[in-house]
Amino acid sequence: MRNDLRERRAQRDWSQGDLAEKLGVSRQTINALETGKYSPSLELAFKIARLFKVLIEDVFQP
Amino acid sequence: MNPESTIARTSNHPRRVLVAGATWFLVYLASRFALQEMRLAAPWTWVATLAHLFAFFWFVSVVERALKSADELRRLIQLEALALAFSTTMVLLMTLGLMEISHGGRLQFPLRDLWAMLPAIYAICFAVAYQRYR
Repeated sequence: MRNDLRERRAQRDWSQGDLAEKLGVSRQTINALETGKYSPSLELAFKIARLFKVLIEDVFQP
Repeated sequence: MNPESTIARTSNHPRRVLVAGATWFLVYLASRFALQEMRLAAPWTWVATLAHLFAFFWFVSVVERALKSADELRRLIQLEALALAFSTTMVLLMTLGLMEISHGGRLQFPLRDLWAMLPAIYAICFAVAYQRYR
């Protein structure tokens, strides 16, 4: 699954650690999401979408 | 949510797991030394044999707390590592069994030390699983 998490994070000038802290996950999880090595659970996907104030489909694409 | 508390809460768990694991191992060594080197009277042999179980239960509770605080990716890595380690251990034990048969039923490997392979196998499998998501 593709995503634009890195771009959205960069727009807000957040580090991976900052984003991890806001989502309550490890920095490794953020890195794995951004590099496409890991697809989040539905719960985490909703958290991400709510954090960026967008729909899940705006962040993640098949 | 306080950012400092999240980091502080999760960063100590690996260290605690290592301390609990090392304690369990040291209690096991002490029990083994007592059984092999000291002439223990009957009830004390049972104490020495079972003493490491208390350290083991503490280790299990520490690991459980670490897993509860882990995020979804870390739990997935643990699951993959356990699956890989279990199957690797199975294959190794099967191979040792076949080697025993091929050596006429006698292998120069004490059964009492077989367990020592398992943490090493798990550590290798954890490293493999961890690397997949780097």
